[in-house]
Amino acid sequence: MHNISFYKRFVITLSAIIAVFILFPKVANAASQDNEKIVTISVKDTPLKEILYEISNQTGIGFMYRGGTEEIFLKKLSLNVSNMKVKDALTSLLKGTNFTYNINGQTITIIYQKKSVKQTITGKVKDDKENLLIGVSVFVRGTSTGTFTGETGEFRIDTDVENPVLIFSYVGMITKELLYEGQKNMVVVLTEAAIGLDEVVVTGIFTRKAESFTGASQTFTNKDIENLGNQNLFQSLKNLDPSLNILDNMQQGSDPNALPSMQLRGISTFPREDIAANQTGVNMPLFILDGFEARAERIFDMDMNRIDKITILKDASSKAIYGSKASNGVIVIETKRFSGDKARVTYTGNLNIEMPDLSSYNLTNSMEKLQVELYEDVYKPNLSNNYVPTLELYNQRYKLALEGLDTYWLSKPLRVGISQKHSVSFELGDSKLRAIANLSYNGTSGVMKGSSRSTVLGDVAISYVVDKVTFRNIMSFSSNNSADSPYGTFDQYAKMNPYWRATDASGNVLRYVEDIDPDNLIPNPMYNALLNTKKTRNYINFTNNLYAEWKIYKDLKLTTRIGIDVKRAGSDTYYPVQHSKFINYAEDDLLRRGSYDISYENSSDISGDLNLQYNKVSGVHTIFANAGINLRENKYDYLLYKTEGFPSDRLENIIFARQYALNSKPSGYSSISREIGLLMVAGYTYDNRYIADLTVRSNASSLFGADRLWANFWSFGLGWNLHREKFMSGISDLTKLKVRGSIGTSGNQNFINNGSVSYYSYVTEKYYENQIGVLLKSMSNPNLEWEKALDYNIGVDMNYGRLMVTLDLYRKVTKGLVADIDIVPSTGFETVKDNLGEIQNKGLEAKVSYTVFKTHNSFLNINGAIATNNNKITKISDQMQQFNDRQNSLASDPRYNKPVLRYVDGMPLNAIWAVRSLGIDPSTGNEIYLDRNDSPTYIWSASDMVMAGVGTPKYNGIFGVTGERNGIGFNIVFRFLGGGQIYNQTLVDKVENIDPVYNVDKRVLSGRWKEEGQQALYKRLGNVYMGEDALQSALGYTQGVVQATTQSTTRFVQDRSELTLSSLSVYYEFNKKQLKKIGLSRLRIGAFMNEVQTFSTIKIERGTYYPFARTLSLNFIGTF
Amino acid sequence: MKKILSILSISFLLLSSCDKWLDVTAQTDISSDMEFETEAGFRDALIGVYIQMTHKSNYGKDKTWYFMDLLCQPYKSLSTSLAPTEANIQARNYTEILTRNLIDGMWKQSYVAIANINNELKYLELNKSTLNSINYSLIKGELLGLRAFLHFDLLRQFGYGNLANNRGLMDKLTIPYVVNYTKEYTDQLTYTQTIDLMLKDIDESLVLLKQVDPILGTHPMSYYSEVNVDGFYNNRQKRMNYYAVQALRARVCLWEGSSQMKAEALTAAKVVIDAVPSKFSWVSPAEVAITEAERNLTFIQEHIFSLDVQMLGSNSFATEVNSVFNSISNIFSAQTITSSNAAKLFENIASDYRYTYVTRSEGSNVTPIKLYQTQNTTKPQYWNIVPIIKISEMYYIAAECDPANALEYLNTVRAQRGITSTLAPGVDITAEIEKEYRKEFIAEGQLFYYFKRLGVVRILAPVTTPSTMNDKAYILPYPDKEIIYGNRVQF
Repeated sequence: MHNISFYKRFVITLSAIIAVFILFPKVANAASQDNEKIVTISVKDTPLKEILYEISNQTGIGFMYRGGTEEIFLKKLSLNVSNMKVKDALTSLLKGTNFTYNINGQTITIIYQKKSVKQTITGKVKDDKENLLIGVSVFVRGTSTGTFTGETGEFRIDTDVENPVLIFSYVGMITKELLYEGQKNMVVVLTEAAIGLDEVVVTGIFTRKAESFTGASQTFTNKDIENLGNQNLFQSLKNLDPSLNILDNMQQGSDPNALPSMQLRGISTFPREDIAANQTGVNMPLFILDGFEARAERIFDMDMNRIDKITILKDASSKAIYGSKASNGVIVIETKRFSGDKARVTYTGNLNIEMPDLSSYNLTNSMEKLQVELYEDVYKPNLSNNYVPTLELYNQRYKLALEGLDTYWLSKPLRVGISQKHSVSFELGDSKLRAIANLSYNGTSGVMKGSSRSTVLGDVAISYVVDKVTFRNIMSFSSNNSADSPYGTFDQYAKMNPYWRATDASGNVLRYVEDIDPDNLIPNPMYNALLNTKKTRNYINFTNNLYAEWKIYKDLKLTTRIGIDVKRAGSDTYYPVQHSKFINYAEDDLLRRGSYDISYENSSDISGDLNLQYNKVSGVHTIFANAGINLRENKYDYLLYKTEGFPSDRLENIIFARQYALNSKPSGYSSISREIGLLMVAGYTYDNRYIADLTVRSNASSLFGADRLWANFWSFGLGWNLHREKFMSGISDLTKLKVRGSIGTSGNQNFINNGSVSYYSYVTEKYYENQIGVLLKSMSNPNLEWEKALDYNIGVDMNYGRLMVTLDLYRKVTKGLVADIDIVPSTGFETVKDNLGEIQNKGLEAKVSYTVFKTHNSFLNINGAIATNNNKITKISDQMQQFNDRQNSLASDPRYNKPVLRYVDGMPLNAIWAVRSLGIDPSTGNEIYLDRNDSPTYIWSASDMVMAGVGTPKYNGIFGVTGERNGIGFNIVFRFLGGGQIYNQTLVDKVENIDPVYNVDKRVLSGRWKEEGQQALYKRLGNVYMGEDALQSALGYTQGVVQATTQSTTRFVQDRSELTLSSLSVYYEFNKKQLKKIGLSRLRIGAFMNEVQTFSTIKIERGTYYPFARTLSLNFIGTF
Repeated sequence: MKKILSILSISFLLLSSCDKWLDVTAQTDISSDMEFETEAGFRDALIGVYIQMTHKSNYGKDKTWYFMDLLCQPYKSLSTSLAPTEANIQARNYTEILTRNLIDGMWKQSYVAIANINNELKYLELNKSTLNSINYSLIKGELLGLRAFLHFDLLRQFGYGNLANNRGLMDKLTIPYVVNYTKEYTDQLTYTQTIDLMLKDIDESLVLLKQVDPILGTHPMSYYSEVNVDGFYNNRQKRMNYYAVQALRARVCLWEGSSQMKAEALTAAKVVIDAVPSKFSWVSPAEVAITEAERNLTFIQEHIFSLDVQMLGSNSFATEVNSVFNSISNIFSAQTITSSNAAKLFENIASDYRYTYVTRSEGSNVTPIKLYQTQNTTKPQYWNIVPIIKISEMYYIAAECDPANALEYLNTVRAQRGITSTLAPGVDITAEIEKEYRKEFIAEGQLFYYFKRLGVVRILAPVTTPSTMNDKAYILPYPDKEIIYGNRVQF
C-alpha cells in the first residue's frame, strides 16, 4: 500500500501552493479566456515543471499542482506544438502519463493521479564474494514500503509504485539504489563500504540501526578480530577497545588455564575482604552469546572463527535492557550465520609457537649469590647450627661455583609451547533449509612443561524458513581438558640458588639439589614432575539455542529464544607419596602421605525469552518498540572429596586412598536461582534527525528477599543526527555527525547473595539424640539493597571523509555498595552485609580511525583509541572505618610488607597507601620516613600513611596501522597505559626483604647500602638489631637480630607507564579469480606475533607463578 | 490483534504465578520462611539450638568441664610455658589473648543459640496455625526455658555476683537480654529488669510445659502419638523439660538473693525434690561399684537436664575429654588433683562414690573421670553425656534457703553418695554446703558460680593455698567488639 500520511500530504500540498505563488505572481491577472490562449513549444525530455513554466511565460496562465511530490512534477516529457490552444497542448502533453488537468476559473490545476500498478518484486542480495546477505533492508524510495532479506538472502516486496526505485542498505555495505523495470528475480550485488561498519547495533535481544540509537557501544567484526591473533577472544579484545580493561595477570602470566579478569569503565565494587587479592571477579561484564548469557569460560574456549560480530555495550541506553546484571557492562557476541547459497567447506588451521618471556627477571648468579649470603650472615653460627659445618657449607658451595656450577633454574620448567588449532566448517542447504556444521580442535600447550588446555568443539546451526516464520537452532557441544604443569609454580624455580644442581652429570633429575649437609637436604622441585603428579580439570558443555521469529504483520514481529546449557566438570589433583609436599611429615603421619582430591561440578541453565517488536517507518517518523519477558533458571552443584594416604606412587586412583584427608569430609555447595525480567523499549526518530530512546526493565530474582523481589531499571537517551540537518548539507564530506546522550540505571548482581534473607543449613557432623538439627547461617539484613549504578554518557560520532571519530564522556555512580560490617556479637553474629558507600568512575573514551587511501585493491588505515578512568569513593559509611582500622593494624604488623587496602571518602578505591619516604639515610642505611607532621623519623607508623598512588592506570589505549595491497595485508597494534602507579613488590621481596637462603634479585648487591656515606636506593644490606618495641608479641619473641621488614613506603610506589607491541601480523589473501581455476573460493595465509615486547618504566617480575609468553602463530584459511 | 491479545494474556498468566516460581532455594540453603513451613522444620530448628549448646565454647566443653571448671577446682597448677592456655585460665588472667578468645567464644556461641531461639519463637507465632497445639506448647516452652537458661549463665559469667549483699548492684546495667533476631543491638537493662525478663520467660515456659510436658505423666503416651515423631519427645532429661525449668527458676531466684526470692527458690527446688524418686532417682551402689567400663559415672538418672555431646569441633567428645582427664597420657595439661589434695577434698571418706569411683588414681595424682569416655563399654547409655543440672543441686539450694531443714537435705544427698556418717545439728551448714558443692560439681563448672554468688573472697584453687577473689576475678570481660559496637557498660 502506498502510504503517504496525511501530514506529509498536507506539507507537500502546502509547499506546492507556496511554490505556485512564488513562481507565478501573475496568476491574479489572468483573464477568463486564458484557456483559449495559444502556445508554441518544442521540447524534448524536459521536466514537466519547466514546460509548464514556458507555457506560463507565453500565456500568463498560472498553474497549480495537486497530488504527488514535487519530484513527480520533474518528470521529463516531450511536446512539439505550434499555435495550439493551451487546453489542447496540455491534453497532448499529458497523454499517456499519470497527469490530468483541471481548469477552474483563472487557474489550471495539474493533477497527479496514481495508477494502480500492484506488482511483486523478488530478488536476491549478495556481496561481491558471492555471499548471500541476510537482513539487508530493501525499501521502495519515496514510500515506507520495505522489507529485509531472509536467511536465503532473498527478498520479496509488494508495491504499487510504477517503476519504483529500490534502496538496498546493509551494515558495512555501500547503499545501492536500483530502478525496477520488471526484471524477474533481481540479483543485487552490494559492495563493502570503506568505513562505517557500525551501522547496526546488536544488543543480543534485538538489533537497532546505529543511526537511530542513542547508546554508546562499540562493534567489531570478525575481520577486526581475524587480524589480531588467534589465541582467544579476550586476548584479541585487549587490542581492540581500551575501555575494556583486560588486566595483566601479574601472577598467572600466560597460563593457558587462567581466565583473565576484566573491567569495563573502572572498578565499581568493594572487593570482599576474603578475596581482597582478587577483586576483579565481581567487576566482570556480562557475556551474551547468540542472545543467551554465557560464562566467561565458554567465551574463553570458543572457536574464534565462529565469531561474526562483537558488540560492547557501555552506557545506560545500550545496556539497560539487561537490568540487574548490566552494571559492569555487556559484551554481546554473535556467531556467523549463512554466508552463501552454495555448499562449501572452509578449513582454518593455526599453528602457535609460544616462547617464554623472562626479560623481567634479574637474578643473581652463583658467585653473586654467595656474596649476598655472606653479607646476610647466612653462615654465621646461631643456636641451632655450628660455625664449623656452616663455614664448611660455604666453602663447598664456593668451590662448586668456582668450578662453574651456575644452574639457570628459570629455564628448567619451561619449553617452547607448540599449539594447534584446526577448524572445519561445512555449509549446505537450499533456500528454505540451511545448515552450518562446524568442528574444531584447539590444543594449547603453555610455556611451562605439561601445562595444556585442549578443547574439541562441535556445533550445528540450522535455519528453516516457512512462510512468515523463521527458525534457527544452534546446537553445540564442547569437551575441554586442561592440565596444570606438574612442575608446580614458577616461583619455586625463581628462588632456587644457582649453585644448586638440577641434574647429575648424565642429565638425570636429582631428588635433592644439594647434599652437602645430610640434615638439610634441599628437595628439587623438578623431581615432583617426574612423579605421577597430576592436576587436571575437564568439562563437557552442551548447549542448544533455539530462535524463532514470526512476522505477524509487516511491522510487527514476535521473537522467542529458548536456550539450554548443561555443563559437567571435574577435577583431579594427585600428589604421589614421594612428592616434596610430604617431606616433612612426622613418623605418625607417614601413612598419610600422598593425596588425591577429586571434585565434580554440575550446572544447568535454562532460559527463554519472548519479545514483540514493532518497527514502523511512516514518513519522517520512525518508531521502534519492543516488549518482552524473559525467564531463567540456573542450577549449580559442586562436590569435593579430599583423600590421603597413597602408599605407592603407582596407585594413581582415588579408590586407593587410605582415608579422607585429615579432618575433612565430602564437602560441596549447591545453588539454584530463578529470575524473571520484563522489558519495554521504545525508540522514536523524527526525520532521521532527532532520536529518543527509552528503556524500562523490571527484574525479579530468587536470590533476593521476598520484600525486594522486583527491581526496576531504566534508561533514557537522546540523539541528534547533525549531518542530516540542512545547514550541514554544505559539508559534503561529512557523512555522519551524531551527538547523543543517555542516562539510566543498572544493577550489579554479581555481589549480593543471601544477604537480605535469613537462611538455615543442616548440621551434618552431629546429631542430638538421633535427631537432626538446623542452624541459622548468618545475620540477615532485610534492608539490604542491590548495588545500583547510575550511568551518564555523552558521545559524538563523526565520519568526515575518510576520518572517523567517536568520543564518549562517561560518569558512572555505583550506589549502595555492599560490604560486610561488624555488628555486636550479642546479635548472634559478627558481621552483616550492608550498603556502605558510593563509587564514582568517570572518564573519556576516544577512538579515531583514518583511511589514508583506499582503492579497489589496497588500503591503508591508521587508528587509535584511548580510555581514561578516574575512580573515586564519593560516599562511605562510618562503619567502613572498622575495615580501615583492621587494615591499619594489618599494616602495622612488622612482618607485613605490602600496602593494605583502605577506603577513604574522596580517594580512589584502589589507592596505594604508604608512608612517605625520604630515602635511605646515607649514614645508617636505614629508611627515613616523613610522619604526618612532616618531620623526619626512622619509625614507621600506620597513621602516617598517605595516598601515594593509584593502582590502576589513569589511561590506557591502543594505536595501530593496518593496510593491504594486492591481497597482501599487515596489521600492527601497540598498547599503552600510564598515569597509574604500582607498588614494586619485586624490589621489596627480592631486594630488600630477601630470604637469603634462596635466590634474589641482582640489585641486592648493587643497590643496597653497604657503607657509611653511600647514597643508596635500598636499605642496608645484612641483618639489623630490632628493638623490643617493634618485635614484641607480633613475632613471638622479644628481641633479636633480624632483617627489618620493609613496610609500605612511597619509596616503592612507582609510576607505571607501559608501551607494548602487542600484535604484529601479515597475511596474504589469494586472488579470487585465480583460485576459482583450482576450485577454491578463498585462500588466506597469515602470520602473527602477539605480546612481542613490553617497554615499561618499572622493572618488576611479571608472571611470578607462570611466566608470560610471546606468541608467534601461522594461520591458514581455505574455502572450497 | 487476536494474536497479540493471546500473547499478552499468556504473559500475564506467567507473571501472576512468577512470585511462587521465584521462591526457590538450594538444597544447602533453606530460608527461614521455608524452614518454618512445616512442623518438622520447627523440630529441626529446636534440635539445632541443642546442638549449638553442645558447641565447644558452650556446654560441650568451656562452660562445663573445661574453662569454668579450671577457674576454681583445686587442680594442679599448670605450667605457663607448657600449657599456657590452661595456666592462664587457672590464673584467671582474662586479658591474655588465649583466654580472651575462649571468653569471646563463650559469649558469642551463647548468643548464636539465642538468635536461633528468637527466630524460631517469631515463626512459632507467625505460623501457629500450622502447628499441633501440643507441639506449639512443648517447643515454645522449651525455647523460652532455654532462652532464660542461656542468658542466666551469661549473667553468672559476665555479671556481678553476690547480689544478695550488694543490692545497689541491682540498678546497674548487665548483659543484654536479647529477644529478637535482628542486626540491631539490644539495649542493656539493669539486673532487676534482666532477672525480671528471665523469670517472665521461665514462668511462661512453666505454664506451657505444665500442660503438656510428657515428663509430668499427666497424659497417657497415646496423647503424644501424633507429635512424637521418631521419639522426638522421648528422653525429656536431655531437653529443657518442666523440672529443668523449675530448677533453673531455683537457680535464678537464689542468684537474685533477696529473702523473698530465696523463698521462691526453695519453692521451685521443692517441686523438683518432690519429683524424686518418681521422676528422678538416686544412683545405686550397684551402678558405680562395678568395672570402670560399665560405671554410671555421671549418675544419669539424677540429671534434671543434660546434653548429648557428640563432637567438639572436628574431634569426638571422647577424644577431647579423655585427653584432658588423663594425667598419664597428657602430662602437660591434664586436669588432675594431687592425691593429698584429693584426700582433703573428700575428707578421706573412701565410701564416697565420688571419691572412690568417679576419680582414678594415677600415680601421685587423682584424676576426675566423671566424663571419661571408656572405650568398649557395654553401657552406651552412659556415653556422651554432659550433666547440666542434677537433683543434688536442688537439695543444696533447699538447704541454703531453708536452714531449718538443711541437715535433712544435706544428709539425704550424703547418704546417696555412700557417706555413712550423718551431719549432726550444730555443724556449720554453709561450710558443709560448700564442701558438697566442691565434691559434687567436679568437671561441671558449677563451683565457680557458687563462690561468686556468695562473694567468697578466698578460695582454694588452683592449689590448696587460698587465692584472693574479687570482681576482676569473678567477672569475665565482655568481648571488645561488644563494647565498641554496642556501647556496652560492664563495670
